[in-house]
Parts: sequence; structure tokens; C-alpha cells
Amino acid sequence: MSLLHRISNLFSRSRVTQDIEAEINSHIDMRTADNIARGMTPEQAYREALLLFGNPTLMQERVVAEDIALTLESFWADVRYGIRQLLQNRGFAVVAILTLALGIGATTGIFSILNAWIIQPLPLKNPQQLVIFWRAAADVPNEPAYYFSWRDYLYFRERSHSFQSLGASFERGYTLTGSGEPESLHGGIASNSLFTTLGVTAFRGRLFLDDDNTGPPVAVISYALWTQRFHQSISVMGESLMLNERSFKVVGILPPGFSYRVLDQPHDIDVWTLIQAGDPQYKQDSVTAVAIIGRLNQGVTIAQAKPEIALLQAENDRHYPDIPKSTAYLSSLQQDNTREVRASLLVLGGAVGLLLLIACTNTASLIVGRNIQREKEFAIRAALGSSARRLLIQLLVENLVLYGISGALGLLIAFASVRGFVAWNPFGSLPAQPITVSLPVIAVAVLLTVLSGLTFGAYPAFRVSRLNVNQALRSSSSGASAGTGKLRSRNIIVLTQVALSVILLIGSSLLLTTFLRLNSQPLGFKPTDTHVINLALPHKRYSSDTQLTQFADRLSERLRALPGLDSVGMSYFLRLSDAGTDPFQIESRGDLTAEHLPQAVPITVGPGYFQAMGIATVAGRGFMDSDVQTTRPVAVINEEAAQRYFSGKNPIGEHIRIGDPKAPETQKNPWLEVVGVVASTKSTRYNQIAWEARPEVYTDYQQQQVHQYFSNSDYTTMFFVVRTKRGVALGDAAIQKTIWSQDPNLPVGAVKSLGEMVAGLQTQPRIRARLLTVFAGLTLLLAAIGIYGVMAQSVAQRYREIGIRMALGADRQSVLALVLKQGITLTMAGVILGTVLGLIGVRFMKTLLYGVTSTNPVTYVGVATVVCLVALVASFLPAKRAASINPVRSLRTE
Amino acid sequence: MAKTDVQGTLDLLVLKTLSQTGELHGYGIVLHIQTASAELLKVEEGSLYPALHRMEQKGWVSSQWALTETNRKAKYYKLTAVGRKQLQEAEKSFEQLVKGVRAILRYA
Repeated sequence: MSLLHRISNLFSRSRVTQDIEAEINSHIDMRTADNIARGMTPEQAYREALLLFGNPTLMQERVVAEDIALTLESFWADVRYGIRQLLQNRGFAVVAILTLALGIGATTGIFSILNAWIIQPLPLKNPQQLVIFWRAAADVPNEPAYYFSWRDYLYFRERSHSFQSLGASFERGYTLTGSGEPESLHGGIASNSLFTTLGVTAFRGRLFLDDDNTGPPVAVISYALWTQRFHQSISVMGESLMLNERSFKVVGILPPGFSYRVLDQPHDIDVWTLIQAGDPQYKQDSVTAVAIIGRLNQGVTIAQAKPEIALLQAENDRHYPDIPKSTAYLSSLQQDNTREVRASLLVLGGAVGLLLLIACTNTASLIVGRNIQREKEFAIRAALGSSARRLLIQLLVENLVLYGISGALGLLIAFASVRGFVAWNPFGSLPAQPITVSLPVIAVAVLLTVLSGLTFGAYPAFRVSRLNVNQALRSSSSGASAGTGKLRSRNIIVLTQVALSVILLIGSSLLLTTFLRLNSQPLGFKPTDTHVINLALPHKRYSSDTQLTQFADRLSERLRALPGLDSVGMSYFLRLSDAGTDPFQIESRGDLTAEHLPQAVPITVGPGYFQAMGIATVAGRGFMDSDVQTTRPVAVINEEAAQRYFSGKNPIGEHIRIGDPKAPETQKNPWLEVVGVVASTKSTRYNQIAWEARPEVYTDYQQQQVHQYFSNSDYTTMFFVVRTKRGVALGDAAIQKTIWSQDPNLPVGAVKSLGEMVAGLQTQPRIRARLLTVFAGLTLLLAAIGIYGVMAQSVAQRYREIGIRMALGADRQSVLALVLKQGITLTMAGVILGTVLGLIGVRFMKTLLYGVTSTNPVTYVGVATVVCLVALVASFLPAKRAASINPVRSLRTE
Repeated sequence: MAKTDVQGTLDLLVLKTLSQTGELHGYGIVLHIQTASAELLKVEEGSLYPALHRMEQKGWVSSQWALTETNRKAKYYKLTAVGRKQLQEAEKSFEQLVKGVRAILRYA
């Protein structure tokens, strides 16, 4: 019999038995025919044939037994029996399956997300060889990371032996003009080795070649730009693009999935151009910032490459003694790409693991409970000759059915949750690889299901296999003494559940407190009803400070004329995170050496800025229209700068000068008189979640030579802050129209709300708090179900005992207390265990917390109280039922 | 010691029959064993079928439904290559059994 045949037998017992019957009948028929031929009557002939053959039914059974394949048939019988059992106990089945499906689904979903972000390699050639370079100030290592300079790149490229190749790039804002509306593009400028280092090849045309640096300017565009702007027309190749009013020839298109991100550089760059030979910003010793990427040589690790780069950096720095010392760091591109989300994902992974554990224990507890109820059934079957092994197998199959259904449902939940996650996109960016419930993930889910089915199903089944038939048959299910011993294993399970939910609740409430503290921080400005517009004014048309200030004045005027406006302000700089500081001198403090100069973020603003941002003036005055180029240069500092550098003294009237006194260009900067102090605004820092005040020095837009600050770029950046009257919605279109009425060739991107910008910086803590709270809530719910289940069953088993107690005079009150006490004792034990484990666990979360310590007693007491309350509610229903037992009836039932 | 028993003997008879006759149904096998042993060996006809099915599971014989000369439907069995090898081994161990038993009977 072929294997296929044998397998098909599995599904059709009837067909096989029919076949055997036909064969036996054909034998008997032939014998009968022969007998008739030998002269017997048909009746005689048939009887004789049967006699010779033996009992056909028995023979048929024996033949069937020979069929190995058919022994597997009993497996299907068990499966069918299991399903029938589930259908009989619908309540049990629904709770168990939903619990498990939730656990498996959430785990599979989160694992899919983790997999796409952290485990899957980046879609680049040998991505594990790709390393990014960055550095941090040597004396303050937790200051923001910053980029290396072009001259460092050249130095590393010449001398490093650890790398096959190095590439450099940096973002550059491009304005595309010439055809249609002017469009602001994320652009990038790259060394011609960038794409070869990354191992990317062109989708159409070619990428950069060696002699492109010297030839006419060329550009490579992204697949997205090709699709959106050029509708995938191949004729764009060889065409000229006007970028920042210069012409570039398009030579190639990048492949669809290409995405390259380094530190805080944008990862969706639309157009790439080359660092051209002779570019004044990229001379042999230029300090222009570049993001460096390297491809390690075969077999070289990051740890091996680091000392070489550190050495080369120290060597190169010796040529430039004036610059501040920094430490070089290398990190894998993949790690850098996941830096923001890694902590959140790992916290989530841990939480979902605990959830699965609780779901499994909950189901195990339900199964144990149900099997205790079924012990009599098992005993009867054992007494009728069913072997322990047979019972064990049947129970395992039953469990596998349960877990199988839950697993299938869980997979559906996983698919749905991954879809939901992608649509929600809480991190604001998606991993380079799409998030899918892939085959390996499904394999893990199946493995998880079968494993948990066997482990958590095996214990209850094992108990049954050790069942003492005599005892089980004798003890009645409502007997007085049956309860305690049998419940011990379930008590342990409930205790574990309570402990696990306590751990999760502690973690989530700490993260929630963190988020609430962050969110309730007074920021020093008012984010509501405020919009921010970022404009890039090309140098070609705005080539002097006068032109810039004129533009700012006129546009402010026009914006103020819009209906529903409260105030409009202008600033050359507006960042809520990672603002760099400059040193400044204080005239009265000649004692400060260059190393200990005060540091502040220099910000040049126009009139109305403080009002539009909602920054309060604390002392003195803000800028006025009377502060012009010809009057005395003035400055406004914030409270943080006043406290830090003028310790208690009144800073008004002091004179300061921005810049490093050793640098020759500082001499050109004027001494400024401090005329006012404003409230400190808060900002965040790279890789940290705290809002903190940084010292700031504001200068007046009329009195500053702004244009020179932007000499490294093709344009000057200007921010307009527009505050509307409360509740007035301002359309982007109205703002766009106003700007175009001033300059029709200026690209206007999306108008950002200040509130969204603030929320954007709290994304990670917010998501962590939100998701973990959801998980903690779920586990608490599951634990409550667990406690309820155990208490309900315990009451059912102690039915008679309670009846006797009541017959002997116990009142309802004391019965209620008896049951509640049992539930609370169990819960308290779990709370204590969970608190101890939680104290150990949260030590790994310290870096994610802000404004709350990991041992905050309020959190622990609060969690314990909540869990105890929930336990009280969960055990109240069974307790009430116990208290309402009718002693007469309970004693009569048997 | 030679590995053989009553069931083994029945298997041997069936395999040998099939090797001599080619393709045969169960009833034919019974008749052949009776005729070839000059009515000395009589198998319980029904017990042949569990044996045939077991041998089929082991891959010693293969089967297929066909019509007899008298136009009846019957299941025909045929020796496979594995069955042929098994027959050789069964014959060998049977020889040894016979030798052993005979030696004991002659021992005096």
C-alpha cells in the first residue's frame, strides 16, 4: 500500500472497512460457488463456506487491527472527543480560547514587529559590515552626539585599514523650481563612494562615477520622487533639474526600497548630488559636518576598528589644537537605525512575554480545575480498563485541540494587530523591512502553541495519570475533605499570575508617571494655538541682511492681517531638541578663562517672537521696533542663563559678546547690552527623554549680521511663529497663499503645529506608557479571571463543608469572610512575590524613567492596593454564592 | 536460534504460494496450499486475511482488485521485491527450524 494510500486511509475508515468486507465476501462467495459445483444446496454451501472461513466479523476486526494506519484513527476520535468536550463546556472553552488566543496573538504580533526592526538585517548588501562614525565631547560624554568634519573623513579615508571603503554624506535642503509649483525636497550631498560603500546599484541609469566630481553637476533621484513628481517617466533621465536655482543632470534612479539613515539625518532623501571638487565647503581642511559610513573589511569587527579610528582621530586633532576634544564612536548602522525604538520594543517584548505566561497559566489553571471536576469520569474509565497511558494521550490531544484553535485565532489576532500597528505607526517611522507575519514568525507561533499546549497541558494530564481509582471513586465530588489538597496546584498558579501582573503594573505605572511628568512639564512657552512655518530663502535672491529683514517685516505684516490671528513672530532658529551652544564673554567677568566661558544657544529673533511663542518677560524689556542697526546693540537672556552666569546679580545693563574670544571673527561681533530677562524654555536632548532648560541669548534681527551665518548653505532659514486666537483653525492654504503673495517662488511645506512638535518629542515615552498600560490592564483582567475561577471552584468543592458549618451555626457573614479571606491571602502572597520580582526587574528600566525613581513607594503601594481591590471583587461573587448556600439542601445532595 | 513461529509459517506458505503462482486472490491461496500439500495442511481460511494485510503493510505483497475467470471481483495479491527477499529469509529460517526439531527428535 503506497504511503499516499495509507494517508488517505486516515481520513476514510469506512472506505477501508468496506474494502475488507468486500474481500471477505468475495472469498466466501467463491467457496460457496465451488461447494454448489460439488453438489451442495446453496444453503448448505454457504454454511459450509462460513464454517471453513471462521467468524467473518471477527476476521474483519483482526484485519482492521493489522492496518497500522488505522491505529492513528483513534487520534481523530480523540480530537473529535476533545471538540465535543469543548462544546459541552462552552464557558470554559470560550474563556480558555480567548485568553490563549490573546496571549499568542499579542506575542506573535509584537514578535513580528521586533523581528522586522531588530532581527531582520537592513536591505543592503552585507549590512552587518556597515558602520557609522560619530563623536561626542570628551569631557561631557552625555552631550549630544555630533558629526565628524570633512577633513576627518579625508584623513580616515587615506589611512584606515579596517575598512573596504568609506562614504560621506549630509542633508541639504533643495528647492525644485522650473516646472510647476516650487517644491521643497529633502536633498543629500554625498561623496561619490557613498553608494558603492552601501552596496546599492541603480534601478535605472547609473549612480555616481569617479569623474562626476569634476564634470557637470549630476543628480540621482529616489524611486519615490520619480513616481510622485515624474510619474515614472523614463524620459526624466538626462533631463536637467533646477535645484536651488542651479542645474543638475539626472543620471539615475535609486531602487524602490532604498532607505539610508544616519543619526538624525532624514531617511527619505529625494535627490542626491555630489560633493564637487573645488567646492569651498569641502576643501582639504574644511570643518563642514559629514555623516561618515564605512564598510568593514571581511572579518573585522567594530571593536577591532574602533581603536584604529580613535588613534587616527587623535593624530589628526593634533594638527588643530584649538578645537574641543572629542571621543570617536562607531556603531552598526542597524543599531543606529533602531536606536530610538529599541528600548520601547524591548520593553514591549518583555511585557508581551509576561502576558503570554499569564495567559498560559490561566488556561492551565482552568484545565486543572476542569479535570478535578472530571476526576470521577476518569476513574470510571480507568476502572473499565482504560490504561493510564491511553487517558494521558487523550487528555494531551484534548489540550492540543484547545491550543490549536487558540493558536489559529491568535494568528488572526497577530495579522490584525500588525496591520493596525503599521496603520497607526506610533513611532512615526517604519523599519526598512516591511512588518509582516512571516513564515519564521508563524513557525515560532506554532512552536509556542504546541510547546505551551504540551507543557501547560501535561501537568494536568500527568495528575490524571496518577489518579488513584479507588480513592477517586469513593470520594464524592462534593465531599467534605476533597478540596484543599487538589487546590494546591491551582493556588500556585494564581499566585504566579498575581505576581506577574504586579510586575507589569509596577512597570507600566512607572512609565505612565514618567509620561505624565514629561507632559505636565511647564515648557516656558505655550504650544497651543500656535503654528510654525519654516522657510528657506535662497541666497541668490536674498543676498543681504537688509533684504532678509525686509522680507521678514513684510511677511509678518501680511500674516498679521489674516483673520483670527493673535500674534506673529519671526526667528532665525527654532529647535525643540539638540540645540547647539556657543560660548559668550561677559565684560565684567574678565577672570573667566577660555575653557570656562559661559555657553548659551544664540537665537536671533524679530519683534513679536516672545509674544507669539508665549514666552514671558521676567525683567527688563523685550526687543522693540526702536532697536535698529544704528542704535546700541542689545540682548535678552533667559532665566537659566541669568541664574547660571550672573548668579543672583541683576544681569540687566551687563555687556556680553557672543563667540570664542580666540577666534578672530569674534572681534567683529559687537558687545551687547542685556536689556531683559525672559522665562526659560525647555528642550530635549539626543537620546534622552528629559525636558530641560538651556541657557539662551536672544539678539535682535535688525542688529545681527545673519547672512554670514548661513554662508555654508544655499539659503537662509527663517521661522515664522503664528499664534491664532483661541480655537481658531488656520488653514495651511491661507498661509501658503499669503507667502506666495510675497514671493511666488518660495516653497512652503506643511505648516506644523507647535503642540504636535512637542508631542513628537515625547513619542517614545508616550507609546511605552500607553502600550504597557494596555498590557498591564489585560494581565490584571486575566489574573482577576484566574482568581475568580479558583475561588468559584473552591466554593463548589467545599459546598458540603460550608453547609455543615452553616448547619452548626455559622452565619452568612462569617462564611463570606471565610471565602474572602482565602482569596485575599492568596493575593497578598502574590503581591509580595511580585513586588520583590518587580524591584529586581525595574532596575533595567531606569534609563526610561523621568521624574520618578524606580523604587517610588507610591507606585508600589498603589499597585498593591489596586491588585488587592481587584482580587476582592473577583472573589466576592463566589463568596456571595457560598454565603447563600442552603445547608439543608447541601447536606442532602450526594 | 531460528526466528520462527506459527504465524511465521503461515507467512512462509503464503509467500511461497505467491512466488510459485504469480498473482492470486486469498481463496486461490487457500486452495493452492491445500492442493500442494496434498490436503495435509489446512489453514483456517479467515485467518489468512489478517496475515495478508499485515504483509501488505510491511510491503511484502501488493494487491489490486480484478475479475476472476468466472467474472467475480476479487482482490489479487502479488509478491514484491521485498517480499521475495523475505521469502528467502523465511525459507532459510524454516530449514533451520526443521533441522533443529529433527535433531531433537533423533536425539537418543
